[in-house]
Amino acid sequence: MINNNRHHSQFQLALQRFRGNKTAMACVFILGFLYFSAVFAEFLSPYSYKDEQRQYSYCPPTPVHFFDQGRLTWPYVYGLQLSFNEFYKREYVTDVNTKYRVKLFASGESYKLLGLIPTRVHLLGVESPGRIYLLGADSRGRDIFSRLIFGGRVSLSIGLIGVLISFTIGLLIGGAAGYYGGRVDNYLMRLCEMVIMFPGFYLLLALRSAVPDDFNSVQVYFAIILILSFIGWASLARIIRGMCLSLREREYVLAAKSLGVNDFHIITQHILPHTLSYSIFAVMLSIPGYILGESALSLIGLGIQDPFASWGNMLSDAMSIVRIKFAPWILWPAFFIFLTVICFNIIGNVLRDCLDPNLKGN
Amino acid sequence: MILLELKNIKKYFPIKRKSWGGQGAFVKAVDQVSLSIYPGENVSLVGESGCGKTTLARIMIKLIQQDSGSIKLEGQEVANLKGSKFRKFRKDIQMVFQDPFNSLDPRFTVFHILKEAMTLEKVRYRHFRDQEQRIKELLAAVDLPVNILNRYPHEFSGGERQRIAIARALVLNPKLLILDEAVSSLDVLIQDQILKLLQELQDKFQLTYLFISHNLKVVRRVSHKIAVMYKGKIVEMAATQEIFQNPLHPYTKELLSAAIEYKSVRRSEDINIHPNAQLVEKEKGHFVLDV
Repeated sequence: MINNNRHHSQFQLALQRFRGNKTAMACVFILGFLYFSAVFAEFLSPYSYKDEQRQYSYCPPTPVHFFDQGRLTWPYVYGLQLSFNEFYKREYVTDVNTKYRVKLFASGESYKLLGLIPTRVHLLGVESPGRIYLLGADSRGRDIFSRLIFGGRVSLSIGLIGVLISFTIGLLIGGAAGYYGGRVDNYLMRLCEMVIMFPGFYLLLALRSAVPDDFNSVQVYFAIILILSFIGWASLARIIRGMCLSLREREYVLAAKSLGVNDFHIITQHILPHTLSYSIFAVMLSIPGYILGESALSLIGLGIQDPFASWGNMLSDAMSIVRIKFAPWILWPAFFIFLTVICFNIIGNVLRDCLDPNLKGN
Repeated sequence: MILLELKNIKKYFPIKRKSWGGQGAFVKAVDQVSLSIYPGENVSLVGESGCGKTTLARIMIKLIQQDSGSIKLEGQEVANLKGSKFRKFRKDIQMVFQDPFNSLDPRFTVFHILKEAMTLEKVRYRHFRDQEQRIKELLAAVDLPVNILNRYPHEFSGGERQRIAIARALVLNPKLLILDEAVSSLDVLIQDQILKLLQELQDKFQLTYLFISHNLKVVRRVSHKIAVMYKGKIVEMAATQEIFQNPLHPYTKELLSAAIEYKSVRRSEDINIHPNAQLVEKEKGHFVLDV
């Protein structure tokens, strides 16, 4: 009886419209690529995030050569020698006599792929003792490219997990306030306003200082997520509450009530799905806040601690103008933060346009 | 036996919060309304927007709790029903809502919508086969093809949606169907179709209708008895022909003159209702609000 012709819900139609938007799809691919690289960080990075080589401090990006005396060869890099010029300024002199071939699927430091499969294979490597710094090195001679990929793990996941937590709290509190109304609504909304009233960044600092300082990096990571979502849920709860308030008066909700459908079923089937389609873009637009929040905390040294990498604490190296002038490649994390935030914002905006039924004709 | 009997139903909505010791302000949405509906006798509630028709209907199916007054379904008081008895009551009265674009959840397919209506009869429609059979039966009854089941509401026209909404209301075999402005948002031809359909359904399923409308032309076709509401009160109640031929209350006259070519009546500025006014039987079966 149910035939196989495709009939689409409004959400599916919105997705179709979304797919038609090239900019948004490009952003989805960029983010997909970033998240993919964060998941396979160990494999994609030539070195570990804590692989220090002090003699390569602030080593500039290594040029990869494809031609040897005018002939195309397997790509290679030259060896580098650290020396100081007459002003005692660091200079890396390329040693033309030593060539190190770039290797694909090179064996390097051992690790567990996805935390399961023990292996030594890295996508890219170079014959030892040569080093390859695709995006340069930081003050301790660690590969910025590798640390960017590892840092992405923290910076990218913090947005998702943070949003998940604050979205759950926001949905529960907003839903309860909106559906039951009256006194419950009044108290919960005043609570929200209290949370919103705090200046976010200073609350962040105060809460962070309340966290014990002997936490290890995983604990710090989760502490940061909790702190950020503690701040973030309130505005979401207000949005959800407003929606529930109007949604509970919809005729299909009344119809479901008159058919004897119970409250829980009505909330989960008829009310929350409608808030979901509208608050998806709210979520998308709030993810950058978490990424920036983590970066800000790490930047001033309260977040993820060295040697663990996050885009924020990598940037803390770039707080001095002299260092930026001397080694501009330490700004790469800023570029990736920028890229991620822009992508989430564009996706959020396009999603809003697609999900808004009033703009459907276009 | 009276199918549904309302006695002195009252519902005030607060519009201003009570200050200390003071009296809050209220909108008297439904004010001491009594109404009896007999099986097979279609009743219409007419009146302007905001006169409390919809509120009264929602009180009848217990979407809103009345402030005071009693509701009896087949002689049984339903005000404090709980559990299985309340579910039984739910099954007996169903409602079709005003706006067919709003009364069907846009995320649900037709199948899903009709299946949800079986919530109260979960045991009876446990198997997919039973659900399917009942749904086919209903779609045939409302003149819709069966191949629409996995379509979404936005793919239908207003008339088709209203048919789906009617099918949904009929799933549980109700005795009383409340039609809250059910045809007002449809164009004249579709209105005509739906009204014909409703007449067919009445014969087929032994339904009783309560029409809520401001459209007297529609009301005239389908109802046996008309109750005119104004400012939360029923100001006049009589058989359909009687109301059209011999309206007694000034508001009824005004309503008739606005709707059909009734003897032109001077537009009164405002009709005052005396606070102690009662429905008085002027002629047999013809009640008018009077002091």
